[in-house]
Amino acid sequence: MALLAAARRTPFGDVYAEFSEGEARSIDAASHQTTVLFERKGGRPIELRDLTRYGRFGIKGRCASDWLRSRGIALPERINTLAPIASRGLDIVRLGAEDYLFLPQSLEQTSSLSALRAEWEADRLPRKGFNAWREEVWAWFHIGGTDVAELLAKTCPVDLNADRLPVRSVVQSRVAQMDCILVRTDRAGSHGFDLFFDVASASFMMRSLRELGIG
Amino acid sequence: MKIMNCPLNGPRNISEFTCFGPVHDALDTQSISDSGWSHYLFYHENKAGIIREWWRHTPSNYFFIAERHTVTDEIVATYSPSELPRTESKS
Amino acid sequence: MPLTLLKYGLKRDHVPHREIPPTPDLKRHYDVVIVGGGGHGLAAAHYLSKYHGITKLAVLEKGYLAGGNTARNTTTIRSNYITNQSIRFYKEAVSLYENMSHELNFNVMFSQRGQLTLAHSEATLRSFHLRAEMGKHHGTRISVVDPRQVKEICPHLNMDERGQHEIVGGLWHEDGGTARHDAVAWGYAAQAAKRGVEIHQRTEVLGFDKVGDRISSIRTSRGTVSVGHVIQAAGGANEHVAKMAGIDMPIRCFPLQAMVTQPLKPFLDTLVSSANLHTYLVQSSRGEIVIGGGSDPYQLISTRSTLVLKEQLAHGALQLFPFLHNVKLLRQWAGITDMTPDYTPIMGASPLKNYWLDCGWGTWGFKATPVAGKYMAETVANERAADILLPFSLDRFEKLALINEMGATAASH
Repeated sequence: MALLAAARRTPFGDVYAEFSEGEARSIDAASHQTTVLFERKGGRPIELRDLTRYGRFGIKGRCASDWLRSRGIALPERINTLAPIASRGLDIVRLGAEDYLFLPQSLEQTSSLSALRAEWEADRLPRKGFNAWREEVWAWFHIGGTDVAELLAKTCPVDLNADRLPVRSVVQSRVAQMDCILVRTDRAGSHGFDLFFDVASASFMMRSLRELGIG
Repeated sequence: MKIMNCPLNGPRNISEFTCFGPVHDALDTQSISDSGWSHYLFYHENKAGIIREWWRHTPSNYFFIAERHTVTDEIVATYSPSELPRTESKS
Repeated sequence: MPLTLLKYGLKRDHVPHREIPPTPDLKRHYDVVIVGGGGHGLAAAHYLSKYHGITKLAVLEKGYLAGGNTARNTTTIRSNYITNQSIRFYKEAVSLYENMSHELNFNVMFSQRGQLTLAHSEATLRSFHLRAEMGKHHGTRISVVDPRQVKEICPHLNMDERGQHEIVGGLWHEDGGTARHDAVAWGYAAQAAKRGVEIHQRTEVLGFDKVGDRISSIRTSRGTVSVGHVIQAAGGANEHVAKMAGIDMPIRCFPLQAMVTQPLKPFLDTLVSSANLHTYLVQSSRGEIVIGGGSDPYQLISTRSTLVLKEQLAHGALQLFPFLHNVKLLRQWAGITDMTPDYTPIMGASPLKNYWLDCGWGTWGFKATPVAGKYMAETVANERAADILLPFSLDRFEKLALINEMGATAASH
């Protein structure tokens, strides 16, 4: 961090940029919780949280499915769905034929994720998919509230209404003009989505979503 | 916006897709001549009519085939690449 | 002047002077036929007739004079390319523009106001350093400038400090400029016509007849003519025309879209472009802001326009000049570009002995109008490709000797 605080810019823009007071701002510290007030809906709040600092693990590529099956993990049959793995305390999100993302069911609880990662790393099989480095390359937000579908409709072309998109469905589309994966988890208790997108654009996404509330 | 039907994700704005150009025949890297390489790399279908192209749904990184008319820009069909061998003609 | 006006106004049988004569009947034979009545074809006609004494020459144009990409381009003239071959060639193009109004005795409104290309990342700046050094080596006026200098050159720019598209530097090309595209084509056409060149508008080429490896005659919508030599300079139709002559071309067609705003008082006295934003802007002599960008993302043989591309252009323009947000768009259009794999044209010899190519001009053809005309004329007159054109030959694709100008061409002109 001290290094980043030096008078030097990185191509990652604001996220890692030094501030006038000379202190670097990490992703984690970037106001990781905020409330978007949706003016059109009489200022009803929509909660926005930056979960980027929490663990996740992804593998993809040839034989990723085979490897997971060999570990007794039941894979979601359909692409673009989430399935809980109760035995491991994890959620598995199927993003493609050979593309999986694991999320901890309880955010603070990291041991089951680490266990799965360790199992995968230790395996000497020549083909077991490859590490997709989802914890490095993706930011992870959660946005939730009664009017979240209507708010996101201003920036995402897919109908996210609760009746059209049941819990545990996945939408791979665009939000704030960036590629973004939306997973309906209702994590904060009301209608809500986990967002996964390019980590370098985390503050841009945060600003864009906040601005959506206006007008 | 123009809508394309992704075989995996359903109908989406065309801005969610990337075109990867016309489909060609696979080449035999062992026997191909320099001129064959040149054609494989640089010479692509440019006819005024329906051509078969590789497309990708960018947010999900899913590759598929689209048949599209190069004059009217009408998207005639989209399907999974696994269906390619079933169609006979080559682009 | 008023007296002359009165004199001709009262004269019953006065025939006004026409710089471009009406389309005559086709003769049975021409020494040279140029397929394509755009800037390139007309320039070749001018050089052939003025410097090589070839006047038994016809220019065949399917539509109307200079109505294709000559009319649709956004008139950028520059030589800030990255390879030796290209810089040498385009540098001569710029110097021919400097003298063009004299050469044609016609004001082409050449305005050498400089071109500023913006970098929004370190990676772009690195490529600018390379382009600047290459350019300096060839004696063009080009340098990398820092944000402070960018601001001096173009004070209205939004530098977007600490923002998504912060301007971290620029490539300042003082030789860059712009000219009136219609005037360029008209000037060449008028000069060629004065020397007896026939310009056949609304004359479509339907096919070629061959004897051995030579074209013997051309079938057109208005009859068949026999020919000594053929120059193909058909813009967006190049791949199609070459196919009629039995020549395969590594060309695909993509639309290129552009638009202009309502006229504003002069504020922008450079050409400004940003490769990252895929946008460039220039203020025309009428005050309109001409906004262009990269070609469409997938191939199409149509001049349809799309809202998506127009929105992208507007987005880029507003990022650079936010104060344009209330300005209205006046016109928008598209042209069909004949794109090559290496973003470099194809000029010179073809597999046929008397058929000469001036093709693959994609999105970068206008600036080369005079130099392509000059050397295509030399090529035909000497019946061998001019030395400067040799690197651009069609067979470079077979030899895998490409001239990669993608970085110096795409969306940054």
